[in-house]
Amino acid sequence: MKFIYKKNLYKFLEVLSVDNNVFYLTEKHEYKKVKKDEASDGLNVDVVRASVPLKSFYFLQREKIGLPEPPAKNRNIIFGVKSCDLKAKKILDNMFLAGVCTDPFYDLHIKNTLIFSSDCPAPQKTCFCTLVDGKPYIEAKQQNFDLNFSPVLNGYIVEPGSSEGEAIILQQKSFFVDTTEQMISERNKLRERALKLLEEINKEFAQLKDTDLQKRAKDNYSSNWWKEASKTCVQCAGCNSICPSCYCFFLLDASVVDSELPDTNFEKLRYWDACHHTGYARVAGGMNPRPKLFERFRNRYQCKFNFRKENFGIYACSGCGRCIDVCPGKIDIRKVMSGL
Amino acid sequence: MTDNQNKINPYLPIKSKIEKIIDETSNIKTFIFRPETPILFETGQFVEITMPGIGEAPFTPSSSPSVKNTLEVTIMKVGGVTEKLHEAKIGDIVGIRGPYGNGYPLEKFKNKEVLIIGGGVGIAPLRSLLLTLFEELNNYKKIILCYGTKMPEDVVYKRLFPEWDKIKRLEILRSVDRCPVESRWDETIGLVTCLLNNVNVDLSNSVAVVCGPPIMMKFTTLKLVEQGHKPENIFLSMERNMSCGLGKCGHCAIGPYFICKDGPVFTFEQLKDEQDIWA
Repeated sequence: MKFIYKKNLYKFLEVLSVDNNVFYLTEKHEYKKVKKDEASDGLNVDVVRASVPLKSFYFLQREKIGLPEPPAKNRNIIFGVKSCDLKAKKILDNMFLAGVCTDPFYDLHIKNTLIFSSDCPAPQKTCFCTLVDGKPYIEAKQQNFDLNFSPVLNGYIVEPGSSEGEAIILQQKSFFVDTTEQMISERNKLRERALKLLEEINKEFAQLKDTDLQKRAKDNYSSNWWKEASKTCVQCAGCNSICPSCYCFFLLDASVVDSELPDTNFEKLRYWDACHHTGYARVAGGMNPRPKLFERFRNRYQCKFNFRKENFGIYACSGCGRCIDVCPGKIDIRKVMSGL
Repeated sequence: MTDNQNKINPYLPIKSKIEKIIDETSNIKTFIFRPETPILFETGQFVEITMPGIGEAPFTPSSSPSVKNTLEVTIMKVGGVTEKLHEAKIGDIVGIRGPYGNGYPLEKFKNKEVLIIGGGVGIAPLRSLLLTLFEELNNYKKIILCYGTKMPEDVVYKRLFPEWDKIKRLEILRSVDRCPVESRWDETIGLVTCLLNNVNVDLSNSVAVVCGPPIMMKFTTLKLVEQGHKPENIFLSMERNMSCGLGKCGHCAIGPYFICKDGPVFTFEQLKDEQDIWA
């Protein structure tokens, strides 16, 4: 465990950007890329997760999949990843890396990505990680980050989570100093404060904490509440796209003029898909297992709290709250689950 | 995944030449494909067929897995990909990737009476199963095929039934929902489920296999259960929008299952507590 001064943070990223694409979280909840000879553009990892989900870096919104092998790329370093996004990544890892085969595209992107996570000291009103078995900070045992940054005093405690992370600390040792007892206790204090804040933010939904949400979703599959709760849904599928644990995609052959594939005028592509779309599960001939909006709405919740929990032992919802932020129908996933 | 699949990129199909096309009904054709490298499958598994530049769709081969260099697929014209396939000519190249999922667990059929119930083009995967069973007829007590279509003209494999009628251990019962005045039908008129009233099977030593349109599968399964068939002995070939075939894209999910990797063959026991399985 080491300490880095806040004033040295951007310089540290600049050094890493010589060999890597380095993206950092900003005060506006965006990821910005470190560019040569350009100053930091609002670097701030003490805010909540970025508006775009982390999956955008390794499960691309649109990807060409027609070449025999995925093309090699520079390594990405993502700085300012929050624990909610890392928890959601476990769902995607289970879908894409495990099962009958490894998805070579996802695999390549993951191998090319270093995760620099950071504590979430100031949760916002749509955050609810603690209601779905999460915490507003990374714990060392998680093992799916490379370096974690915890804000203390005038800098950050830096904890490695992988051998790559350790190597970076060693290589860039001039940026780091040893941690003190005071720093550790300050970190613990800030983490406790974030937990308290989440409790305060979610006091209306306190009953969800320690509730078996899988059982609740399963037992209430036929409830009329799904119809009621989906009344303001306009099927924009924003919740699907912005969700860090939604993994659905569709494959298509798209007509293009400059295909990478020899002797063809099409490209094999993969796009993010959304289970809220009417035709998502429709089969040839027009049969649709979920023709009604409330059925598709219910399916999303069943997927997150029931089906994937059964498959992987974790909820496919990490409490990032993006779906609440994005919904034009003001649907709040916490209210939906509370109302069941 | 089997050895004949692309090791690096599982989304890439194997180029396959259309060797023969057989008209089965007005909107159903059987295609005989010769893939560049053989696609070895188990009966009941499915493949994804690509019409280059158009897209892909899932189909279960209707030939026997013991035929290695070619595979036959019986295809009804119902959507974009199948429409293009029906326009294809002998010699045209399509893409095939697979096989995917779990086929019929033949070891569970051994020394038993095998009751097979098909509806419409649902006979296609069942033909592959039948051909496989025919190859080791002595392993099965008897085989009963109940096959229903809407009208006589919709019967798929009309050309094969006379041949199948000669097989001793095989009993065939057929029905049509209705018979127009200009057609002729000497067998049962009614839904395929009514054939089950005339079937004599030993419930303690039999399995039932069902494949057809969802509504037919629903009522056939319910009838089988009513007749005393155990849910674990009823094998269903489920169909959804299997898109990637690899259990990743999400489209074919039924509850916690992905049909493409956990199916397409399921026992009713596996699915009976899931919601909306017949849609």
